Amino acid sequence: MNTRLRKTHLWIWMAWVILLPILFFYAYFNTPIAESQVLIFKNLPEALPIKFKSVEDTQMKISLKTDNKQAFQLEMVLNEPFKSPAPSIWINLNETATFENSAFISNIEGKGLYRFPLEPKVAKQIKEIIFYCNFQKKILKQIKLN
Amino acid sequence: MSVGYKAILWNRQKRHYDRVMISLVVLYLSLFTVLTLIFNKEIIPQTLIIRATGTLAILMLHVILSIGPLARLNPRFLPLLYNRRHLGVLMFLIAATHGIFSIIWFHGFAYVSPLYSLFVSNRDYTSLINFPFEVFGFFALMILFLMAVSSHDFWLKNLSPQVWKTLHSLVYIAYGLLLMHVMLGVVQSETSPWIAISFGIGLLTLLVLHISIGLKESKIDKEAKKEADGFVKVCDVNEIPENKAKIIFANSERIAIFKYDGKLSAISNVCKHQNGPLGEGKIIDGCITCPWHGYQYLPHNGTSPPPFKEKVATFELKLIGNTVFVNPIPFEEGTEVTPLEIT
Repeated sequence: MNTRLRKTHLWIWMAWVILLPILFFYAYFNTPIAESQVLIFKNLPEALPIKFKSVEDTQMKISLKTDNKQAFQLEMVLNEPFKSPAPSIWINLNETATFENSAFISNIEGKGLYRFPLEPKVAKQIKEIIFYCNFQKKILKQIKLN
Repeated sequence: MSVGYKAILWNRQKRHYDRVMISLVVLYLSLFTVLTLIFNKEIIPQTLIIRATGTLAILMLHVILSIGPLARLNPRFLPLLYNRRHLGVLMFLIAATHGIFSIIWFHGFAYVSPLYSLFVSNRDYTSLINFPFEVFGFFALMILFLMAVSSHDFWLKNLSPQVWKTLHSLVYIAYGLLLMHVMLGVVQSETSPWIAISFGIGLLTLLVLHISIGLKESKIDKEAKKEADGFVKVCDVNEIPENKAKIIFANSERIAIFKYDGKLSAISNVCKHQNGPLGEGKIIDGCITCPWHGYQYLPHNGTSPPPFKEKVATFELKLIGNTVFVNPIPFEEGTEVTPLEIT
């Protein structure tokens, strides 16, 4: 190196010897401590004992259950999540009804066990389960309950 | 040395250098992959590639930045300096792999273009701690790209060593940017302190090496006192080893005074190729040979032997008793000066 480059080189490192440790320690000691998140869920309702309708495929198993005392529930075991950002579950009470006539039940997350309480009148009339993506605005899956 | 330009002027040393370099890179990537798969079985390939290439690029940059001062400390490190450019280009390719994978993986699935997403997905530009760390990495990568594409001797020759060296000094800015990229990026997202500790050790090593060498060199750059006739005293002739040189600083630049075959000759200490220290080289086959890349000059006129065309300034010498004196006003580059006979 010639004299000018040697001087430039030294000045750069003189600046770095002050600046870089300051930045290093400032960044290190001010690193935000991530707050641990604990997800809170409402307890899943107890499974009702009597299954009166059921449909199953590789992705899920859906059952309609009752206790014969006017309590009804829709139970879903989702084995494989939907490849969609915002899936939700809807029901149709009429075989000829379209999605626009269906009723919203709940949003769903990943795979797992879901139970949704149903009104007796509704539970007895369910004809179809529809899975719909609220973000993509499209039907993901339709299942007939016969 | 080369008269024309070739993509790479291969020789035995360069092949050996590259073989060792690539073997070490493959070894690192293999070890990183195996250890990660053992200790973190759930890792996905994209993350593995991003982490392996990111850590390797940072490690290589530390090695590259250490080579210069290490070679000044001990000539045994000079072979590392010889083909440092290949190491730099390989480091850029690894850093680019890290950058491209990261941009595609973290910004490639948005509704806007990945590069736009890189700059706007985190807009906390007024905060130091929450500053978008990817931006530091992006600009560091741009500097490394500029250096990699201009690394060839074609650019060195056409830009001039002075401009080329200044351009390549941007690597120090890139290092500062990468420090912030790491400290505001992975260090914030990992709970283990070892990433910060490792980077801290690397930083400390570089600072100590560069500052100590810089201060040592600045002591050499003390202007020699001029005698009444304008000459400056160099040393006793017996202090100069055979086929080697004594370096003095006069007239704001270093001069190398070589002793060989019972004669003395003085030329500029600054090699025309990459400003290497000619006075730290030795005379091989009658030519002063630069210790950095082997560029050669004839001692009596400072020109490279034909067909090469490089030439450096020469200086007038005189001997009073056993004491050597040099006139620090240089002759024009390539001027023939009759070597001083040692009586």
